[in-house]
Parts: sequence; C-alpha cells; structure tokens
Amino acid sequence: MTYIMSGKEYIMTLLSPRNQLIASLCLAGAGLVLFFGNSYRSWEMPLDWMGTVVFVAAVWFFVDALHRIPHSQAELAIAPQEWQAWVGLAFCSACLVAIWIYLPAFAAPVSIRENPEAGAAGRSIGMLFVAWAVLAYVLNQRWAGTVISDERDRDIEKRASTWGRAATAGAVICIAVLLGFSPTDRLQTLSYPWLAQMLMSTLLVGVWVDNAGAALLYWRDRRQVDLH
Amino acid sequence: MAAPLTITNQIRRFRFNRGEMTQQALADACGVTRQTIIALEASRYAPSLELGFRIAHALEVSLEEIFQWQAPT
Repeated sequence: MTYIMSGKEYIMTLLSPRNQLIASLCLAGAGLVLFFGNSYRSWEMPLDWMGTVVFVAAVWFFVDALHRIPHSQAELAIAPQEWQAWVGLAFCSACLVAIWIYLPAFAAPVSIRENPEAGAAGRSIGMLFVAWAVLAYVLNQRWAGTVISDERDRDIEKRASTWGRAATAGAVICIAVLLGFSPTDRLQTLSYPWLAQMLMSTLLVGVWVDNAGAALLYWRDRRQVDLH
Repeated sequence: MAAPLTITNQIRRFRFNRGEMTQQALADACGVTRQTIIALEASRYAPSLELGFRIAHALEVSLEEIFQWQAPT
C-alpha cells in the first residue's frame, strides 16, 4: 500500500531541522562560491561581500538548526575538540585559498588604505576569520554543560601544536630564502602589503597544520577503536 | 604506526560489573569526555595518574585492579 503524505506533512518534512541543516549547508556553499567567484570581476557587483553575508547567514541558520536536532550517534562518536579541529581545518583552508586568490590585489606598492581592491580583499578575509570565531563559539555552546576538553585533548593539542610550530618555522625559512636569494629586479616588484600577506599566510600555514594534525590524530584514534 | 601501550586496563569489565554503567556516566563521574573513555577501553590512550585514580574511585575498585603495567620486551 502506498502512503501519500498530506500537504501539511510534506511542508513539515521540508521544514524539519535536518532538512534545514542540509539547506543551510547548500546556502553556505553558494556563499563561498560567490566569495571566491569575485576574483573573476566580470560583474560590477560586490560579490565577495554578498558571498560573505550569505555564508555567515547560512552558518547562523546551520547552528540554529543544529541546536534543534538531538545529538546523533555519529556526532556523539566525535569528541567536541575533534569537531573544532575539523571546523578549524575547513576555515583555515578557506582563508589560505582566499589569501592566495587575493594576493595580486596586494601587489601595488601602496598602503592597503589607499588600495580599495586590497582593502576589500582584506575585509573579506577578515570576515572569514569572524565567521570561524562565531562558529567555534556556537559549537562550544552546543556542548555547554558537558566536558568539552580533557587531558587526552590537551595531549593531542600538544602534539599537533608541535607540528604547527615546525610548519610555521618552515614557512618563515621559505620566505627568508625567497627574499634572500631572489634576483634584485624580482625583489623590487614585491610590495610591503604583499610581504605582509605572505607573513600572514605563514601564520595560517602553522594554524592549518595544527588543526590538520589534531584532526588526523583524533581520526586515527577513532579508526583504531573501530578496528579494535 | 604508534607503539603499543604498556598500560592495559579492565575498565569495560568493571563498568559492566557496576550494573552496566554507561561510558557517558563514567566519563561524567571522572570529568572527561566519553571519547576518552572509549580510547582508554581500546588501549589507545594511557591516562594520567590522577585520571587513573578518578576512574578507580568511580568504579569503587583499587587502581591495581583496573590498570596493569607490562614491562616492554
């Protein structure tokens, strides 16, 4: 016998927290596409700003929907700090891609204040950091009242931080070698804002490796437990 | 691949002896996450001495009954 849903049931299914979660994720993806699509600049529209606003709004709705659905078994299998590591990894990757895409905007040898293109790029990258901080805060709120981090999390964080520091040091050495051994005519094309972006990216590389290392260690532990 | 831990434990056995105490209940009693209890039971993590005492206290047994140390060969 085929069961046919009534109109009300159909709407309620569409508006269920789980479907809202999926819709907000799609919206966040659309926001990121707009954000990164700005580099083509074929439209006279502030696509990066629109993308950021759509992304932040989607993240907000995502968290709202997340609060209304009970913790699933899959979610409970992952430690709160592991969620934070994966979120950090995703945002860090987005920030690194954004810095890489917007790097040409910082090539002009003028202050960022006097370079509207670089200013817009900087604000967009800054918005990604704000969205990351907001999501990290809200995720912690989801686990409010429970233990969010313990000695095992600190142990993993310590190991991942060691890798992060090594990556930062490696990135700084790369920049030092780049600046020290590049031909003079090439060095003259590098502006101070461009170098500032490169320094920012070295910090981000360290944070990216930190988050990736933590996520990897948590994932490895979970995988070993599943095999056990 | 990580080296095998030299500390093993009987947490799962004592948890079931305590009326099938859940991992979450033990985690709450010890002030850790459930994932840490899961990792401990699978011998994926060696706890600190303080956490060891907390677990023993929560399960009302002695430390030696729960944790065993095997000298590396």
